[in-house]
Amino acid sequence: MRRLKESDSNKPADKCPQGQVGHSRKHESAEQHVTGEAHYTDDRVISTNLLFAAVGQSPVAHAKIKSIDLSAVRQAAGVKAVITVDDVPGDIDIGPVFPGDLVLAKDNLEYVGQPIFAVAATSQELAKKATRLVVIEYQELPPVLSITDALEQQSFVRPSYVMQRGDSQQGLEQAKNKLKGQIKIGGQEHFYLEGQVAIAEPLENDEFLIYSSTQHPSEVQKLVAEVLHVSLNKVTVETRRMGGAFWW
Amino acid sequence: MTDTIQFLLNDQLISLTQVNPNLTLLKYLREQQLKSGTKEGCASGDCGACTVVSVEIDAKKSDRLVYKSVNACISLIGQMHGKQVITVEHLKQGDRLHPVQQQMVDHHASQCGFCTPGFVMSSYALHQNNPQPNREEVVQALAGNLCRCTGYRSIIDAAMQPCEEIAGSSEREQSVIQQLAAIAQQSSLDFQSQQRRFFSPKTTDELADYLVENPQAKLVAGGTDLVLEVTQNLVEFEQLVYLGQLEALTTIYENDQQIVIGAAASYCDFEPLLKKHYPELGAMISRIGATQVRNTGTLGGNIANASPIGDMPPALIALGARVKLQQGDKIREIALQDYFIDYKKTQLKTAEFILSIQINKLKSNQRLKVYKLSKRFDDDISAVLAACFIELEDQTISKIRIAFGGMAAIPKRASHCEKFLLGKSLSQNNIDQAKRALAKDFSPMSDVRASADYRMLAAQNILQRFYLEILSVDQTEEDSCHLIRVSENA
Repeated sequence: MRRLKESDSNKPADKCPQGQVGHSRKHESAEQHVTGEAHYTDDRVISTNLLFAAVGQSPVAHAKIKSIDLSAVRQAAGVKAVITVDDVPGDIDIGPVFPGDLVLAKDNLEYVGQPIFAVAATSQELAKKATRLVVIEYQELPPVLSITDALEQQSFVRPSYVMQRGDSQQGLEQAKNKLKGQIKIGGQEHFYLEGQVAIAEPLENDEFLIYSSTQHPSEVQKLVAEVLHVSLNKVTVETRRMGGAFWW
Repeated sequence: MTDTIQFLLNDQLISLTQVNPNLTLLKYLREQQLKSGTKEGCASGDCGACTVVSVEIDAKKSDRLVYKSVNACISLIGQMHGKQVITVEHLKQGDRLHPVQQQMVDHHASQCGFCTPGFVMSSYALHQNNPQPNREEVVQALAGNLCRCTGYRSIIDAAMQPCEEIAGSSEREQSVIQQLAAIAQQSSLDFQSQQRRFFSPKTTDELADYLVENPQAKLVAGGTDLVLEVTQNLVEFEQLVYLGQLEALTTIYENDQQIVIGAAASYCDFEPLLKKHYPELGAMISRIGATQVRNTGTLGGNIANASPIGDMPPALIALGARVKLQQGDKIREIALQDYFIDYKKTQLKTAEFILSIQINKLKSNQRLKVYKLSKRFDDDISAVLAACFIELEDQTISKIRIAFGGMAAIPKRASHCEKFLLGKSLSQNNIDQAKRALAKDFSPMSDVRASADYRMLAAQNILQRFYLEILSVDQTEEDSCHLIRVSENA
């Protein structure tokens, strides 16, 4: 076994490139961060033949889709392609750990903002503007928005499970002092500052190079390959850095 | 008339013609200049990731420059005419980081780094104006920048470090002053592209005439609200008239009785004067938007916009402010409280614009208190805003104006509540009844910021707080004792 060495805090920091306990090391990208030289996905200079994508999103929390009319979207200025879930050649489920997360909505809308279709256009503005021309007919369904409602309706995302140690029931019954009450706290999206962004560059031989702001490049590789119904080696994903990441 | 936008981008003089007036400064920097150090976070002026520094010649001292942090995402390219825009790329000299950058590195003040250029620029603007800021000033300067990796402590520590003078900077400033002064000599700016027109007049006559001919034109002052239409709703305005070059609309002055603020004067310019005369209002103003928004946002904009949750109108209504309006060559003056008719509907006629706002100074037996309730302290929209103005004579309320924002479709006075209190003494019993009267004045709505019940209860509790504060001031603060003394002697 290698012996632990005493940290020599008198030794100048630049003599220990890996850093040492007791030495203050600057962030490896600190100078790029403070000068604006650090490149994030959207900062890449892209080739002029790339199109810009935007997704049309659900305006409602819960509904059954009756019809989608995309004709005005297809005819909008700058639009080169419009796709729905029916155009996906491979898997439509991109749930990373458990299934249940569709790449584009199929028959039902399950949350506000759910992607329904995607547009590729000659500029980001034109792509975004085109998405707003869709006409969707849907039948609204009551959404389940609180834990109380979900329990009442037995509406669970995943099967229930119990984490338990000892007998809490008995413990409470025998407790000398008891406090009872309720607390409600609102949910909070962590709001990483960088927008959700990716660049997909078609290469030779039907391969794709994807620059993505993701914490999990190999997961992106797998999911993209599955959605496109190609083998994993056709998809390369590169992540330089992310503008915010708070574990999972 | 010139059709060329001219501004300094860092050291470079930029001349632009044939540009779409809806182009934002951020898009111009990132996509046309490929200066990607300035980031797009929220695209609505809330997060500060796009902060750049806008430099102008000091209106009071023509040999000095003023540095203002602004949100590039909601600044239109035409608004930059005659200014210097400094981006994060400009700070480093050769291999040497600027002191504000070096301090950020040394204090471990970046983590993911996405918000960092914005923080650097806010800190840079602060240090250019004030080389040794205290903590309070640092916190104010950085309030419009969000960091989500939670690094505020280290960022504040970094920004607290004094900056040493950079060699050659005063020569560079003199050169900037000369170049900006040359652009300022030019006449009004009027450019167009793709049937979109941007006009920036220099006199009120030009403005009045233009509006009579083009009544559908949109006025843009700071743009802190209007430009969200461009970034969020993808609107392209056909005609924009920028008010920032009109000296008559940006002037601020006072006499013995009044303060007069030009409609296009920005918060950062009138805040010190209002703070001096109405400390409670000053404290509230420091919570309107954040530094970047107050550096461009204007008083006239906050009024003309007619939002039920604009923060200035209730406070100004409580002070009995009046607005001066111009249409063609006709000038009229109305009480601000009469300006608002219904949700986003005002007295402003076609082709009419706000010239200035007149606010009465407080007499020694008058008090103003302002309360802003919002979920965040800085950079947030009010759930309820209350402004209470009171005059006491002989322990009796001889004048009262209580105005609320966020309680109705317009900023509105609590008339039942006022009527009950007028002529009465300040007592717990009277306040209790005034609180009940308040329920007759308003039926607030529930929305994302607060429920109707919360708004009503909070408004009533504000009355209680107002009463207790007036009472405790009379008992404890010596400098405010005149309130009671005046009434005793009256």
